[in-house]
This record gives sequence, structure tokens and C-alpha cells, in this order.
Amino acid sequence: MQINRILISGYKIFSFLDFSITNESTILVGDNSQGKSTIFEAIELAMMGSINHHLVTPYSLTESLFNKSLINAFIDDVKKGVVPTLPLIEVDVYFSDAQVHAKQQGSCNFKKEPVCGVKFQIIFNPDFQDDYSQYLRDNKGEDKTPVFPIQFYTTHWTGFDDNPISRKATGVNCTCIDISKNSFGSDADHQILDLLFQKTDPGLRATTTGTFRSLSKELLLSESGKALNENLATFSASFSKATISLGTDVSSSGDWSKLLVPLFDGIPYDKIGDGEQSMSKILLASAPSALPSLLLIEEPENHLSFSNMNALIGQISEIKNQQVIISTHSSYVANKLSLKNLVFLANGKTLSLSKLPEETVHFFQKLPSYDTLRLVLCKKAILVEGPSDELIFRKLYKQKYLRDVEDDGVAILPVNGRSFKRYLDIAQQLDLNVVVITDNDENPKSVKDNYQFYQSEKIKVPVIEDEKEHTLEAVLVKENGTESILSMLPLTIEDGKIKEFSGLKATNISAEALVCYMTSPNKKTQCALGIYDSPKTLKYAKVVWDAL
Amino acid sequence: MPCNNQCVIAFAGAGKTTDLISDALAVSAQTPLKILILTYTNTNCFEIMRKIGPIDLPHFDVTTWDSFLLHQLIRPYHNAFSNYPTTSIDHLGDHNRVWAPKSNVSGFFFVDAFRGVLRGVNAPEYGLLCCQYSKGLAMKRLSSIYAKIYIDEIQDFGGKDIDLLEMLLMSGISIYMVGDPHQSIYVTNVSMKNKRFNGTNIELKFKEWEKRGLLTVSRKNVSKRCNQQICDLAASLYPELKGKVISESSQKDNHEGLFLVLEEDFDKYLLTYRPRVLIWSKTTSFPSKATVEAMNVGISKGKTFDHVLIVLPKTCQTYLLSGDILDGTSKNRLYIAITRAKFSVAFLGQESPFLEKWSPN
Repeated sequence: MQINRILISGYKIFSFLDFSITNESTILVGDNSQGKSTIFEAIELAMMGSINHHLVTPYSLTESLFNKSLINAFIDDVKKGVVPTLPLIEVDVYFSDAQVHAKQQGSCNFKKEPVCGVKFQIIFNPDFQDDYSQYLRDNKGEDKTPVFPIQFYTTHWTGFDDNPISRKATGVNCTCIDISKNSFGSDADHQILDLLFQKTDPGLRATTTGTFRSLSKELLLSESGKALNENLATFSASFSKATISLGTDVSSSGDWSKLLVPLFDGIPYDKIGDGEQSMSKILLASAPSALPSLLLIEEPENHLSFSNMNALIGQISEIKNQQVIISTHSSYVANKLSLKNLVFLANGKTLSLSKLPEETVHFFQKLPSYDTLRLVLCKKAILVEGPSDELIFRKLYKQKYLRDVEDDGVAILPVNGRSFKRYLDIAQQLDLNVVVITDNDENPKSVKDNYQFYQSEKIKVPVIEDEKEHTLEAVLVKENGTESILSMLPLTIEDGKIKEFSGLKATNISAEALVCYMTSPNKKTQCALGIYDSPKTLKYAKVVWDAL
Repeated sequence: MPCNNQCVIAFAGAGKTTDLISDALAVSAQTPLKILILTYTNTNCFEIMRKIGPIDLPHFDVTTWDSFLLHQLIRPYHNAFSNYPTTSIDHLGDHNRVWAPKSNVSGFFFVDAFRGVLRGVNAPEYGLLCCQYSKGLAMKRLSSIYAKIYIDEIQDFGGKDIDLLEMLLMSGISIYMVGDPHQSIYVTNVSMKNKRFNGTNIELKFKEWEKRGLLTVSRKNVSKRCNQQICDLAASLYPELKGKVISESSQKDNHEGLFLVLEEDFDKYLLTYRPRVLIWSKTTSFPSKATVEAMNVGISKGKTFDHVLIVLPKTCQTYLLSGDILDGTSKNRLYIAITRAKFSVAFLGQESPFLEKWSPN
């Protein structure tokens, strides 16, 4: 493991974030615009001094790097004439191996802790003190519209020993792969070339540079090159005293890489499919390398078919000698790569699932299609037994709150009976709001005992006391009456037996027979759909209704 | 408890830097950690780096004492003591007069606290405080980076640097230092603190450390550079060395010995033997019609020449007559000048009882 903690202060969405990493691989999940990509950027900034492969220098700084609320507070103070607090950016990355990074030991970090690490700061440059005080004088007054003075800032990239570092000095190869952004043409080529060069022998590159320079000199010594220059000389002689000719520019040594296009089976990289691009990028980056490295992968599931995603996850979980941090929106990816590594990001805070029981981790690894991330990301989850329950509770929720579940960020998750507890393990770790709606199986006491461990302020498991109301359908018939339920179902009765026929009213049918009909496997969902589509209101057991 | 720290006091030309480097190379071959070599001047740093060679250099950090102080002693834990930035150390003489009391951290320790420019004269003390406030972490950090620390030109240490040196000696990291107290003509730190240990007297401090079991001191009174006559002349400046220095030079030349050159023979002597002219200081004048590249004694430190011709200033002319030179710094300066030569030392002057007068014929 290369890094174990990240502190971000004043950078983009984060006024402050303290993020600990406890595992070799980390899966970062969170809703959109919670700052997943920002964390990746911040790590790249502290480790490589760059953002999206572009070096950050005092001349490339932009206002958008700073936390918006800090900038607004600053501008307000400037207008009021109050001495403002200059917004500052600091990203600290803690290294876990003190032996490798002995030189970067020190207490010069945000928390003043004596550890190893690197930091990147964007701070005020004291050389601009005079200009800054002039700026403050010029922009005082409510009628003024001051612009954030980014020109007075400078960058400061050091270890925790406060001594400047270079890309090489960190001793860790940090590779960032963002699949979510498509790249085209030269930018795509540039990224992939970077990756390819990281893995190849630097000696060979140097020799090729030499060959390139001698070859490019020969260009104008060829027949056509000579002819071109002769032509130019005759032409220029008519108006210029100097002889004008063409030569090759061999000044910059690495320039030949601009002429290169990475080919995959002979097809230029930017012409192969998006999925293929994603795959090859990740495969290349995760190939073994000599330096211990840190691999940051954003949303690897993008552009990938199911089978390719499977192959990719296989590759990622095989990675050795590299620390991996992945952001994802896919439960499949998260489940497969072990939920234990999951870190949930919301409102500038992170929660980890590192204490999840091993058994549960394996369960979801083996059955990765369970929608665990929906549980993690929702505001409140209603866990139900199957699709027919989902339909009924959608209807009940709308009746109670007059809104659809989606509008409130509530997720109704159909769960196979046995896996309620697996979900509750996750909910317990993340302190989520969950209602479990389960049948009492004619034994309310045993069900209660079963969920005793999970019952809390946040996790509610309402159990209907009446043993006869042992299924969803039984409760519905009991609470609403046979008549009312029948009126919602698209069926009719013939010869005292239930026969499907929409539009006709059924009478004289016993509650038991109705429940029996509704619970028969091939009618269950159909009945639930009928009730869901019916405009009539539905009643349900009070204990469940209250918990909803 | 056996102590890992050693100090070698060596006569000029004893090959102390060469010994230091060979010891350092031997240690570096046996440890995954790095080796730190500290010296006083940049010139000396480059010289040591050149001697180590590019293949072994990655195992070494060769820096000046100043850079070590700033980067390794002050910066890593400076915020344990104060919150000012630490950008550089300023040694300009003007800044050495400090009026602020020590309680005023920004005034006492900094020339410009806002930009983090430390005051040269008080920087070592600042380093000492940073290390003390780190509660041993600064020293722990060093021992996790370096297997052994070598210090060349130890005689140039003075003032509060001596306190830092003591802290390093007590840190548990092996220290190997070499020097020649007689070659002390300037001092790294001009503070009044520890003044009595400056220059030649640093040996008193070594003795104290030896008594406390912090240091083992050994002497190497040999010279691989100078012949016996030159060794004897240089040794005669100090009573404790007189007659005790042995030349280990095996080279021979047809012009060997100690000479007096008259003013009128100056140019001729230059033409005949092409000696390196060493002048006392920038302002020393000498009577030459030819354009001669003269070298300041201070700059000649660490260098070797076949023949030297020393031009003394008026104030030191008495030396030629009596062989006596009273002032300690002048004595050291003369010692350096004499010991640059492998084969012959000549003085520009009129009369001297102990030098052979050179004549062109």
C-alpha cells in the first residue's frame, strides 16, 4: 500500500476533507457531484504535481480550483473593506511506508503530524504584497465588482519535510485513468503514449530519439528535398539578399513522439471503439511495473459490455504491487471487488465498509448482481421480498406521502428472503435509514427475534402480530376486505371458481380462496400489477404503514 | 559503551578527504540507507562528488553544512517551534547584528520572517530549537535516511554549530569527522557563543566530548603530499607538532627545499620553476613585470601544487627573520600556504636565517 490518508483543504467542492484508506484497493462510491473526481484530481496533484496530465504551475492556476464558498466570502470581505482571509489550497497525501519515503518525513502538514508524505499548496506569493494591498484599496466599496486575484498566487510542492520535490522524488508512479471522459485525436494518443512510455525501457527511447534526429536531417538531403531548396533559392534570389532555404528542426529532443500514433492491430488508437479504448487503457496501466505504483481508475464500467466488464474486473483484482483506487457507479463492480473496500462519499464526509462481516462480503462477491450501490446511495431504503411487494409499496408510499419514491430518493429494493441480513449489515455500517418489510411466516416472534440485532433508530423491521396475516396478500385481503381487493383485480368468477376475465365483478368468494389465488406463483405479479394500476386507495397493517 | 563517533585530526596532505571517501564507500556497500557527506564550501562538495564518481553517487547526499541545516534540521519539524516559512539563510554581515531579544522569534531569527529568510548568525540556534521541539523526531528521521554522516573540514565549525554537532553526536547515528584545526581561517558561525572553541581551539571541545564518551579522537601526523623539509617547516609553527610530522611522499623533483627569493629575482624564479604564487589576501601586492595568476591563500585550501612562492604582507615580514608569527589566524594562513607544496616553498623577502637564498645562477 502506498498511501493511507488524503487531506484536502479549500480545493473545489471540499472546504475540508479527511479521507483515510485502509485497504490495498479502494472503491469510491457516491452520488454525482459529491467530489469523487475531485478526490482523484487532488491525489494526482499531490503525487504528480499535475491535474489531468497537465502540470500545475503558478501560470496555469485558475479560479475554478478554489472552493467557491471561500472565494465568495473573500470577495464579500474585500467589498466591505474588512481584512479578508485569502483562500488557500492544500492537498496532503500520507505515505504508508516510512522506509521508502524516509526523506519526506516531517510535521509540515495540515495536522502537524510527524509522518511521511507529500503536499501541494496553492498559496499567496509574498512578493505580491504591495500589489495585493493596492488591490484591496481599489476594490473596497459595495459598488465594486472585484475579481479573485489569482495572479498573486504561487504553487508549493513539497514533502512533509517542507523541502521541494520533483515527480521522481515521490518514488511512486501514479497513473490516472478516466474512462468517463472520452478522448479523441491527439489527446487520446497523448494519454496512451504516456502509459506506453511508462512501461518501456527509457534507454530505447533515447536511442530512438537519436535515430529520429539523424533521419530528419536526411529528409532535405534527399533528391526531392534538394530540388525543393534549389527552387526556393532561385525564387528568393530575386528579392532577398539572404539565401532562404528549409531545414529540419531538431532542437527539441523528444519531439518525435508527436509524430507517433499508437496502433492496436494496425488501427489507430482513437479509431478503435470506446470500449476497446477503456479496456486497453486499464490493461496497460495495470500491467506490472518496476516502481511501486498507485493506480487511479474512474468509472471503469463505462463503455464496456457485460462480458468485457467481467474480464476487466478480473484483471483489476489480479493487480499486484500496485495500490488501486476506483470510483464506480456499478454495484456489479463494487460487489465483485469486495464491498469491504468500499468507501462512501457524501456531503464532504467518507464512510467505510471495512468492518463488514467477511461472510457478507463473500455473499455479494458470489452474487454480484445485487444492487448494493442503490442501497448505499439512497436516502432511505425499503427492503421488500419480491417484485409484487415492490409494486404494492410503491403505491402505499405514494398514498402516504403523495410523491413517487424516486422523488424522495427512496429506493424500494426487492430482496430474496435470505439476503435481508446481508443488506442490513451494509446499512448498519453506513448508518442508513432502512425499513424491512417481511412476511411474519405465521410466527411473528421468531421473525422479531431474528432481526433483534439490527432493530434501531435507523433500521426498522415492523412485524405484523396476527399470525393469519402471514403473507403480503393475506394482509391486503384482511385489511381491505375481499370485496375491495377483488374490485381491483382484473378477474371474474365462474361456477364458484375464480376465472380471469377483466371487467366483471366477482361476488361470494371466500377470503382464503382469494389469498390462495393471489399467491399462486403464476398470478402473483399480475395481481400486484392490477392493484398498483387501480385508482382505488389501499389500506395496510398499521404497524407497517407507520414504519414506512 | 563503545562510541560510534570518530574524529580524525590530520596534518595537511594526510589524505583525510580520500580516507573519508574510501570509508564512506565501504559503508555504503553494506547498507540500503544513504550516506551523508557534509562540508563547508560548495567547491569542496563538487570535489567530493567528483571523487565518489557518478556510479556510486546515488547512494550519497553531499551537501554543504548550510544546506543540511536548512533542509534537514530546520524544515522537517520547524512548525513544531514556529509557524514562519523557512525559505533561505542569509549570511550578509549587516544582518549579523541582532537587536531583538530571543523571545521575539521573527526579529531574532529572521531577516524577513514573512518570506522566511533566516538570519545566518542565529540559524543554527533555530535549527537546534526546531530539533528540540520535534522531541527527537528530527534525529529519528535522519537515522532512517542515513547510515552514517561524514563531516569534512571540521575545524571550520564554530559558534552555535558546535551545539548542533553535539546534538548529532548524541543522536545515535554514526558520525565520522575529519579536519585539521590548524587550517581554520574562517568559521561557519560568527556568533559569540562557544567563541573560545573557535578555530584551533576546537580541539578543546573534542577533548571534552572524548571525556564524555561521545567521540574517539585519533591523530594522523603524516603528509602524503609534502616532503620532509616542508613538513618540518609547517610543524615548527606549532609547539605540539614540532618534529612529529613524517612525510610519506615518495615523489622526487630536481628542485626541492625552502628558499628565499629577492625582489629582483622574482620574475626569474617564476620563469625557472613556474611555482604557484600564493598571496596573503586580495590586497597583497608583489613586484612582477610578468602577468602572474596569483592565488589567495584562503582559496588554495585543499589544493596541491609542485612549487609555491608565498608573498607575505608587511605585517607578517617578521616571520622571515625570527620564524615567529604571533596571531593565531595568520599562523594558520601561513600553515595552509606552506603545506600546499609538494617539493619546494619559496618566500619573497630580503633576509632570513632559516631559508636558503636563491640566486639565478
